[in-house]
Amino acid sequence: MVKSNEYIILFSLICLLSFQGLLAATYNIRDYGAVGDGKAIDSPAINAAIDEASKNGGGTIYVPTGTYACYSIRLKSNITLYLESGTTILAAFPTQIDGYDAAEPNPDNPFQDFGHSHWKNSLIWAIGEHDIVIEGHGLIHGEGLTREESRLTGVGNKAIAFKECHNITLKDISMLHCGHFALLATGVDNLHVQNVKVDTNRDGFDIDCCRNVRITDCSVNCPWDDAIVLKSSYGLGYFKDTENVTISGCFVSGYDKGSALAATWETYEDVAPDHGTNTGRIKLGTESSGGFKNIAITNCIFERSRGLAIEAVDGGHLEDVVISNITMRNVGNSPFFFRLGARQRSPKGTPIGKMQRILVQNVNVYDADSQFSNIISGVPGHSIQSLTFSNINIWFKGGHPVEDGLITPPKNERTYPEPWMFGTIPVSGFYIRHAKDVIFDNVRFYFEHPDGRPLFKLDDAEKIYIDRIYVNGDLVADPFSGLDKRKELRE
Amino acid sequence: MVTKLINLSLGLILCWGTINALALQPDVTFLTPRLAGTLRLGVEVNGESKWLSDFSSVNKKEKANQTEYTLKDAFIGKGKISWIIKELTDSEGAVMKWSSDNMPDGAKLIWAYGGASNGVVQHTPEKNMLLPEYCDQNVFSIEGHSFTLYYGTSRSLRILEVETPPGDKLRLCDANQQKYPLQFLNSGKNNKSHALGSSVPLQSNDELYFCVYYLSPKADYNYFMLPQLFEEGYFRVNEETEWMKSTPD
Repeated sequence: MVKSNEYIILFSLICLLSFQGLLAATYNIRDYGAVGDGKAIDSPAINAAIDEASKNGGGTIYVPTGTYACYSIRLKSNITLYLESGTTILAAFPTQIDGYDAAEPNPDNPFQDFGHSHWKNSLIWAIGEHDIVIEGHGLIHGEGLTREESRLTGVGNKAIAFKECHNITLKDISMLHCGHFALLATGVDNLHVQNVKVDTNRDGFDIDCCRNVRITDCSVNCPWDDAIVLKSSYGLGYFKDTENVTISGCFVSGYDKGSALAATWETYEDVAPDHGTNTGRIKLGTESSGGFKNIAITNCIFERSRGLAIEAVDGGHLEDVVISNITMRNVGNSPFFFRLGARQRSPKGTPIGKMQRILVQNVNVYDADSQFSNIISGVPGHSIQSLTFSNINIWFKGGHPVEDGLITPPKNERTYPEPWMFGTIPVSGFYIRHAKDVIFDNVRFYFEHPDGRPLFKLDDAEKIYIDRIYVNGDLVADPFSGLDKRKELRE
Repeated sequence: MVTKLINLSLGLILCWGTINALALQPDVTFLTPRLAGTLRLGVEVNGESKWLSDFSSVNKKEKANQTEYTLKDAFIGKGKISWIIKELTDSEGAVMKWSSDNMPDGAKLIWAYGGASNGVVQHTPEKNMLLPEYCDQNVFSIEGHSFTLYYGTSRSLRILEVETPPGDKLRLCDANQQKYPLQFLNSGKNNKSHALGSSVPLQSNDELYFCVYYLSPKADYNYFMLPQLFEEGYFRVNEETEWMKSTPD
């Protein structure tokens, strides 16, 4: 009996210690003065909770249900920011007397856009910290952030920004209307983004100069810019590759802003600010001073997007990339746009980059605009190399006349890369220029309307192997010829 | 500055500080020098609404770089509206001030902006220039009570900034439906001729501001700056060395 009591006392002590341990590691922002009425500025209370937790070695910052109007929240090492269900972190609009932390000076701003060059002018940011988690089923609503280009002190333009951090996790949260970026991660190692829903007015995730990244099971709706973007800018002031990245199980789209999270899926706005179609794509580039290495994009779905853009235009090496098991519907321009360019927005003397060893397989595309077909283009003396397309279905709208097949696209080596940079493309399938060692195997084209352009056209291309090409279910004997289809059109 | 502020039926042209009053209406059309849009104003009272261009009494005073209207109408009882338009010093565009007295209880200002065709206007317009055919591919990026209007073409894109007074949420509307302000405001976004609109509850002795401009190191405004901008003609805060032109990256 005595022994039994001892066990009970021991068990109680363990429970008590464990409970106290849990309490000690959890900091409720209400205890630090947060109001949660959507009007009072609660970021000072949240930052106070973070500071205290940090002094104690870290802990969980608990954000209970409510709407917390905030300016900059400064995360620190070993902090978990937990957003309870029904919680909103609401980005407040800057006023004459209050706003977001000022954008820090960055002498290397000329090599990438303002948005990529500063981190502190964000709703939530950390620089040089580690082991940070943002999780929970709450919402980050960046209402008071801008996607535009104001440089006023106090203006914030990113929802979440990390610079030179490691061991960062974002999990389960939702993000709405987030300014230039929902997430800008620059120079972050060991980044895991899981089950995050984003519905925003410019970029979704920008993963810049990061190493070992998992983006898993996310939905990113970005009608006005790219959804999931890998970059390698010079924003850190030194070259760093983005490498060892997987993007898997994700849905990217271009529905009207706010209608994805609201599950109304609206399509009243079909033009992006740049006057192209809705964007919402997965892209490598445009910032590409460093390189991209060991990238796997798999099991992803695109809808109302501009397709897949793979770009190296600032000097970096883009290599060892696998893209597999993708399906796209309603593609506003090239489903595949591969561009090795010479924009060279990098320190002087940076040589032209490389693009090589890329495998694209098991991709289905439905309802793609035909004007820009698919483009694979390096620049003279710098070919895209070792590229394979295997098991591809593309359903194009078609409808271009024979005469369009006679167009010679401009070189535009330094032009900002978008499929429209070359104007109407003189093929209905793939236009291949400055490329070598490219394999097409089992590529099936379907055209809603007959297209008078040839399927393939080569310009400064060598070792191009094309096998098992089909049009509307028929095996094509000569994929470089448009004669058969021209004949069909005349008939 | 090459801004021309054309007050439509008024046919008022502000150009290089020169004012020519020709007609009778306080809508403001911006030619920079191509068509950058039109700002229309109206008033709502008890579920009825009326464009200022339809008011019975419009008086105008002219000064250098400035035009001032005083408007009355039986629709607003003993109310009186002052509407002053000033050219900006640091950008093409204008800063505008609305003030009103003795307005009926519950009165609201309704505004509409749109019709940036980027086309050449060959004549001095004498009617509403917020036409559906001028709204094609106008993209409005709304941020609170500010918006950015993208117009032109992909290869010749123009980006206009507009500050409006705090009020109801800004919303996309149908430029085909402008018979009266409420029809426009409630017309919805299911159309191909998007223009933007909102309403602002009017308090006695309110002073409300609008500003239409192109962003630059010198011209970068928040709403709280507009009173000083209006009085002094400029409000510069940015260091030009910090200014970098961004790409679509």
